[in-house]
Amino acid sequence: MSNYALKLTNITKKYDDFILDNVSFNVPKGNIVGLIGENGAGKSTTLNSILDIIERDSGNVFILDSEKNKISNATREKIGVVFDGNNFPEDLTPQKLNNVLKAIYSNWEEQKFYELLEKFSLPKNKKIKKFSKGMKMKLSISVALSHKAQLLILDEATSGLDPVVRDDILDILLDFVQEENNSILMSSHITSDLEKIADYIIFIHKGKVIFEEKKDNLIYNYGIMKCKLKAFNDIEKKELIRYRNMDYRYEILIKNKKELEKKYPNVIMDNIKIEDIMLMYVKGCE
Amino acid sequence: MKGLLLKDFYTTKANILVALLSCVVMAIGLSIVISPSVVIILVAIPLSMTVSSTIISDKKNKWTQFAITLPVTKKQIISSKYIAYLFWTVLGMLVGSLVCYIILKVTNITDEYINMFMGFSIIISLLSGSFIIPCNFILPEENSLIGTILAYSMTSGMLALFIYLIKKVIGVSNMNLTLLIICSISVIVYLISWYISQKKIKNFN
Repeated sequence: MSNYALKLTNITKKYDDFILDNVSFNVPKGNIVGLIGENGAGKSTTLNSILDIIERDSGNVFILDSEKNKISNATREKIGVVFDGNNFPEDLTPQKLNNVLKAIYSNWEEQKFYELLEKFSLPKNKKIKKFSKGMKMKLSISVALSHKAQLLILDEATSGLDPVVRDDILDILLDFVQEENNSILMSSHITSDLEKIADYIIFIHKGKVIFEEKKDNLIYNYGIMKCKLKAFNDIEKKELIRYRNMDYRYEILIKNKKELEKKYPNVIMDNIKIEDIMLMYVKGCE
Repeated sequence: MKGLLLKDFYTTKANILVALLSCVVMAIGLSIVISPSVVIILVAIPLSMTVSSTIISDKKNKWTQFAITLPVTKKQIISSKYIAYLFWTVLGMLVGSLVCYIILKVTNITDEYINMFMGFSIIISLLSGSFIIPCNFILPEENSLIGTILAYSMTSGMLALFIYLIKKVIGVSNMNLTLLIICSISVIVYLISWYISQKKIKNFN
């Protein structure tokens, strides 16, 4: 039995103006993996190719001990998917949606679905089109959690939601991974959400995986050095990952924060957020 | 599959009552001018067209994308639309026939065009469905109207061609027999479209 809920190797998908280029990463069982990157970086293309929504040109996807490259229906039973915005026909009510999904999922848990609706204060008999964005997202998550899924794949599930709703959703996701076999792959622009709950962070930029790191390693090992030009010139170039020239000073993304703090005691060393790392990779110079 | 059909049934049912009533009222009006049996065609075709709307709305509200992640195959997603299309066509013909029967009973007249309009209902529904369903899957939603126009143009062209060929080449001039032959061809075209769509449509635009 594999230790990974999801394993991607060399996924490639070519479009006229974009290439998802040999994307490889793993989602270890029992973990939350955050997929970050700017708009158009390839996050949704990656998730869509995992789910067979788009056909990939090459590469392999192994999900939940499935040895076949194509996802079987039995495996799909164990995957819960949440897309940004609404996923369901707007004329349906949650009750009718329950009837539909009961006939599709062999493991559908009607009682759990209704419990989640109640927990989220979602009405059973109101048409989905009358739901707010937050309510629609909670409904999607209720569905994803009501068929004994072991892997949740969420595409921008918290974007556009207010902090209270986002926090509710993050709590639910943390509850979900309390079961050791349950795992989550979650793409998000809101890196602060991932800082709260993710165990690993994968950064995609221009269709390529730039890094796949433990979140704690990122937070504790990476840092931002701030200095003037003279100090910048004194820093060994192999130590800087990216840098930005900000008018009167340089900001430098570095990896071995503790080590470099000792080596360059006169340079300001700031702690870093995931968002800063992303910005440095996207906007900084090599 | 059952869940997909149920979902289509719910979404269509939610929108169909007003459309169906409008069709029946319009058909009753036209039946006075043309023939009561015109009701059959005027109810069956719009009703079958509701499936086309469900494909477009499925794309709009991302259900198509979500459905691919469910434990159903792409073939089942496509087949559910072909089955729903047949269901609504048959239901439309039954409702149309019932309304036609009531008109005939109330007005106490006879109508020799019933077979003809029944035949045209089947032919137009199935031929247009053979094109509309794959077109709506393949074309982006903003181009769905093009698919519909294309489908009805193809249907009219094929219908005219079949009538001409049957009359001139095979030499059949009996209208009922001609319609029976074209109905059979329409069923075959529909089944071929169903088969090819299942095999060939991989990406839902």
